[in-house]
Amino acid sequence: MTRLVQSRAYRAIRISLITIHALLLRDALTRYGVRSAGYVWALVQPLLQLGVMMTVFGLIGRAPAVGDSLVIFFMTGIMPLFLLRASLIRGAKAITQNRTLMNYPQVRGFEIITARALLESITSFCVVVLVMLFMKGFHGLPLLDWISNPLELICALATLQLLCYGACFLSAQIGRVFSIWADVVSVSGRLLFFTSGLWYTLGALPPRLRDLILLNPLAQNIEWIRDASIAGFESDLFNPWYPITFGVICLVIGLFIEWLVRIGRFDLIKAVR
Amino acid sequence: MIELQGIEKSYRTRHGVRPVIRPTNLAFYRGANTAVLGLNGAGKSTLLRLIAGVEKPDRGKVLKDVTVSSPLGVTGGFSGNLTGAENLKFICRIYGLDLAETTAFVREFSELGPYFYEPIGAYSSGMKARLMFGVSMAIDFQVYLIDEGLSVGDSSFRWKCQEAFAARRSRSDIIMTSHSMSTIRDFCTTAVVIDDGHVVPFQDLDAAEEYYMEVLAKRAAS
Repeated sequence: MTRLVQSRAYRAIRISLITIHALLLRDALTRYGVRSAGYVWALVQPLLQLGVMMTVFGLIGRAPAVGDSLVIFFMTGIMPLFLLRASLIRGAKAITQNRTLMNYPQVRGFEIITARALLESITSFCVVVLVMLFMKGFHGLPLLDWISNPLELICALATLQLLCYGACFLSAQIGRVFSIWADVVSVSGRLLFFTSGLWYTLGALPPRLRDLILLNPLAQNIEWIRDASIAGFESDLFNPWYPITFGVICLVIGLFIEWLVRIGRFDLIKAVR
Repeated sequence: MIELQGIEKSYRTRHGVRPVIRPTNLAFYRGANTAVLGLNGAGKSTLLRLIAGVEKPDRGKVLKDVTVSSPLGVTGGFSGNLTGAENLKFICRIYGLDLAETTAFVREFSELGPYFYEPIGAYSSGMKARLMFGVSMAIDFQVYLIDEGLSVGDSSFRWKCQEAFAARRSRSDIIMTSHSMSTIRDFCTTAVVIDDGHVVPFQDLDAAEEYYMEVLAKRAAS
């Protein structure tokens, strides 16, 4: 009996993984709706954005708040922000855009959202690696300059993953219930832009403002990533458990809504329509 | 065999809870093709979705010891900005099929020609249906659920489907909805009629049609 249960669980997990893989590849193809370029656009677009921003800040001669390299300081702030923003925005439409696929019993909300969140993470990772290689190749910035404390950096990035996955999951579930959510969340980028410590470290803020900024889990996460990534920068103003808890809570609420929808009686979309 | 044990389904609407399927016990046995008859919105598609496992019943259980396709409809399951080939690739992946073999089969069956490599958005509904059936014929299900998919195809395509199903009659059955009695007579031998949430099974198509006509007349009178 237990073996039967085990093999059933194993099969369910296997099917789920296969489905996520298939959805991931499909999502990569439709990411920009530009048929000819496909996934390349997903990489080129943030790179262009980064290029423009870097040029502007290079020209006005801004120095990094900490560390020697403006690029590293900038990247450790902007890439987590891009990732969270993309998770929120792309999550909001995940279910509504893929509703027809849910005609296949294998494809459920969980698989769709997980595939999306994974694709965003992989895309961000590729962009970071490309920038690292570019800086190494053209400016001679050693690759190891990006990493000061490897173990801690892994923890901080894993937390970022968790935070973004949780945000994507919750966003998708809210978006499945309220169609207006996609519009609400599209301004999140601007909000995050000023409250996430992109241009400053938490230590540089006046205490009262800092207490406010500390409410933003991304700000704490970015501070943590910089602490682990920029040599000579130590910060004790962040609490690693805050973004972790935040991510877990988002994920749990998202999974709860997913479960409510799945047991059928509470298909909220039908309730609202 | 597919067995529905005391299943119930209702949807919440603005005007309160609307029962779609009232408590139903029903079994679909191997060897019979079944038509699902009912008015628009009677719950035909819901019944198919419950059987496919895409939706869960509020109460009761759906027991299956056969492999069941997803409901094959006019639009479901394809995304418009991908080509037929790309959509097929996705389906191959989730069902674990050999890509080259399946592609060759579906191209041949669907007779889409160059359109096979065009975005689905450019397809007519008949072309979509041909692709859909090509794809599902490539997968060996024991029960095919067909939701109105056949009514859009032209007669030569319908004949082709009929032949394909006849060829696999010994291993596969069909449960289908359609508004066209002639399509139903081409494919099915038994029927269920859904009326006001009650699912009434019939062993004989004539009796089912008679009952369905009564339902239609009742609706026209009210």
